[in-house]
Amino acid sequence: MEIKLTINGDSKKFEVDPSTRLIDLLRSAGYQGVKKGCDEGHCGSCTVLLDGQPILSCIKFAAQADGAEITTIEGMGTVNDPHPLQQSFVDKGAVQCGFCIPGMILSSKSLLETHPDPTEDEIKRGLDGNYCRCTGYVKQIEAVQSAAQKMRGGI
Amino acid sequence: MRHAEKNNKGEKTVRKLSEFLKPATVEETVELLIERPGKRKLLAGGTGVSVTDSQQIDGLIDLTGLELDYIEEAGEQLALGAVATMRQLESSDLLKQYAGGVVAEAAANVGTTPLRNMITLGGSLAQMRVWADLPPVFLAVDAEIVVSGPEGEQSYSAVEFFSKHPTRLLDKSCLIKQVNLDQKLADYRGNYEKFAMTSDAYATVTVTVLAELNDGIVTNPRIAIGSASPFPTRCTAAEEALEGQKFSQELAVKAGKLAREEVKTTDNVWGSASYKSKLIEKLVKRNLLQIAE
Repeated sequence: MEIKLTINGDSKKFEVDPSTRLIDLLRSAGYQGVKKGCDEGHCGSCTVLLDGQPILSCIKFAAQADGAEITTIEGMGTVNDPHPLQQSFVDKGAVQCGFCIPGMILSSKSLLETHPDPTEDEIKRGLDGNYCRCTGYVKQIEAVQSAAQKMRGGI
Repeated sequence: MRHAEKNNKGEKTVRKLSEFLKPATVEETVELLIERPGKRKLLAGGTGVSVTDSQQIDGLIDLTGLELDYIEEAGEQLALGAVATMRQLESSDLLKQYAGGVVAEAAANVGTTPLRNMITLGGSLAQMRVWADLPPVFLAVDAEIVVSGPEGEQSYSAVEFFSKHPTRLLDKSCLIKQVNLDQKLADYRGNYEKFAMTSDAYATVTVTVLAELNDGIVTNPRIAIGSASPFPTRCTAAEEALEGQKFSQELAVKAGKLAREEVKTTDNVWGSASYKSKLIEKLVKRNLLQIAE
């Protein structure tokens, strides 16, 4: 069956099998920033934004996303022109192995859309679906606070 | 997805599915279920379907085209569509204002943010996991569960619906369509508490308490316990002890003790039966004190 997706602003058509997962479609289409971690809906490394909301692409049937707008980490920024969230994660030392970071950044983006000045508790809740096994989450919270401030126009 | 298989590209599949259907109406959905009994599975949020290991299923019926994601006032009731997500329930102003916000609070305690964006009301009820947050709350508020099937619509009281697993209660060609909440309870005081090892862990025990409190007198108290045993339980002895009494710390302690005696707790990995019993006593007392503040 054919489905249409808008991925990072680009309209695309895909021929999918009814059992294809969104994660496999995205990775095979070149969006390899979508990470396959637990592959069973726990760890959050496969998080993408579907119509602006974080979801787990490893347990999402691609056919069900027909017509949706998808944002992956590739849609956020580049090495030379990073998104403020990406820059803040680097500046605050929030990245070790990096595997969870695409999901973290996307969850953070969604959070900041509705909470431009989030409290620590709101950040913890916004990132509750993204497991990091390297760090203690403290630096990611600082990074989101710092990015929020930049995005609000401060500093 | 312990039971999932890999296809020859190394991609994950539940089974080799041959159909992906997206009906526009509830009637059409029921017809699709009747057409190939046991072969097609209902798909809403997908968090449950994706871990299915059924050898029989070769088709999915996507329910997201049915427009069942509403949360609205309908006369004497609040109507919750079965395809509303946990995220919708937790952020609904109508539900935040209903009976101390117990339904919104329970939904807010489900899983994690990305999971709450996916998990639906109907899916949660259809699977009725031991640790599910919503069933005990719906039991406490005497919700009505509306099911559509070959014979049309049928409504179940919460007591009936939560007495056995839906796979045993409902015909295989049915779908859960809606949950109705009685607006009479909207102004009740209420509290929901989930006790779990971490914020996104499955519940060890959940407690829902509701009551009216006028001049310190308790009326229409409702206490429901979840996760402590396979099905949620109403604590009727504790409720009777509270009815018509002047609220006091001692009364809350007594209700906690009675609730502990009433619930036949069972062991699971999130807690032993005896630990859950102790939790019930403390949590019932604590939540009663909170709603009386």
